Amino acid sequence: MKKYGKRADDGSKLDPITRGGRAFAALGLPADANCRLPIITITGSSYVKTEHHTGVLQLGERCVRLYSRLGVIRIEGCGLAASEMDNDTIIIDGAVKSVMFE
Amino acid sequence: MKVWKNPIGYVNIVIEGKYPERLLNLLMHRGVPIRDAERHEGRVDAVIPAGCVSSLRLLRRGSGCRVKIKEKGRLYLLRRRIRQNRVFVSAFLLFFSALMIASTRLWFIEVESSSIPKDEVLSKLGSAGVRRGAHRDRNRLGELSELLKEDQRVVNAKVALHGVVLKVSLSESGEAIPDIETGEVTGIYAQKDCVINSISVTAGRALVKAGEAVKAGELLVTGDLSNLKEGYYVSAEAYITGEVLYAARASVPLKSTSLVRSGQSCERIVISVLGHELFPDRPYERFESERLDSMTIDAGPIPLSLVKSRCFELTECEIEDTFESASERARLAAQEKLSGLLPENAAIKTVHTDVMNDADGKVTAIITVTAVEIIGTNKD
Repeated sequence: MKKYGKRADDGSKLDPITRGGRAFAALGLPADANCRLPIITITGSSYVKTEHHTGVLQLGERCVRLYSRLGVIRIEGCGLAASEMDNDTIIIDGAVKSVMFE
Repeated sequence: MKVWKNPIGYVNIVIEGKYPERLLNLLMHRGVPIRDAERHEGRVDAVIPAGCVSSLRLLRRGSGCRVKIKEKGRLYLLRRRIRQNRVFVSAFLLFFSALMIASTRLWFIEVESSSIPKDEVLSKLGSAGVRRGAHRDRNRLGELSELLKEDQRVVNAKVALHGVVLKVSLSESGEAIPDIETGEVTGIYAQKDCVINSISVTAGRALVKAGEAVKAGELLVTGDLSNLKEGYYVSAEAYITGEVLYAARASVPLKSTSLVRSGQSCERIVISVLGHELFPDRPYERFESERLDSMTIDAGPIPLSLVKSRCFELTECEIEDTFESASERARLAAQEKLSGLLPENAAIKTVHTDVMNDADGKVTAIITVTAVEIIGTNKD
């Protein structure tokens, strides 16, 4: 969730990622331009492309978990496989059922 | 698809262990692209480029995983074999280069002679620089033939080059005159008026030399060797090239005609079915149309197309052309005439173009070309 004030609702300080995202959003630029926030592109129900990940936590047939700056991204489905993986981008093929942040 | 993605080669690996994702992360961090990674019964299968196998070996040690190579792409194997067998590749390249160099040299000299010893002929050729290993020169064959004929015993010397073999055939004065077959040709004549560029005679006697001007039909090489031996004729063989002059001329008027709009126009609606016009008509003899609107009507199975356009009448009009564009038109017309005159095997040596303004107002272009071509022909 983006926070547009200097502090969160409960008075705690905003983390740098969210603060940076607020500044870019104010300028009308995408928030991930400087923060390397993960970009998840889902095409249909069988293709998930995740950019700006920071590593693979778990690679399984039914569950794939990836590290990112916002936490862990969980992709669930059947017959999942990583068709392409490199330092920045990972493409998951298979019957994808859900994509969520843990 | 694997080969397309990894043209240099690919390797199928199997990673076994408690935490294979750790090795995958290390590989990705190192810049190794991984493809088709999937989990099967506690192990992870993946495909990496062949050039990254050394990185895999390095990272495997600290990852706590076992890595096995399941399959190697064919190009990878070929590349690896070539790398390992450098001696074989170097030897192959050396052999190929040696073969190329050797094919430009003379390696065999065959001599056909009834009484003159072969060693004598070879030593005579050797004095002219022709020996085993010498450079092959087709243009020197005539010179070698003349050199061998200096011997009083030799009536005729035929020297021919077949690949890396030089064949010398000597006819001696004591030999019987061979019968000439019916229809066999004895002379070489000039096909066109030209200046002789080069002449190399392998059989017969040359009557002209390089630099001389000859006319079409003139005898260049004769097979009549009666001056050496009474009634002795051979079939003349020679390679003769000459410089032939070609010229083409074209004149164009300064004024040119073109079609312009007369000012008359009308609207027209064209109905067509599947590209074929129904009720074709021509509002003017010459016209051009501009499309205004179009629509398609689905009339059952046959679609009708309606196109509304405006037609403008065109008339011929003479316009004054500039000298530059008229000379360009004249030059193109002359070039077209010239392309019909030049034979296919002619090598163009020089081209000269002249453009002038005639007294009657026309622009004339004259293109003169000097081409080198084979001009010797046999005829009875």
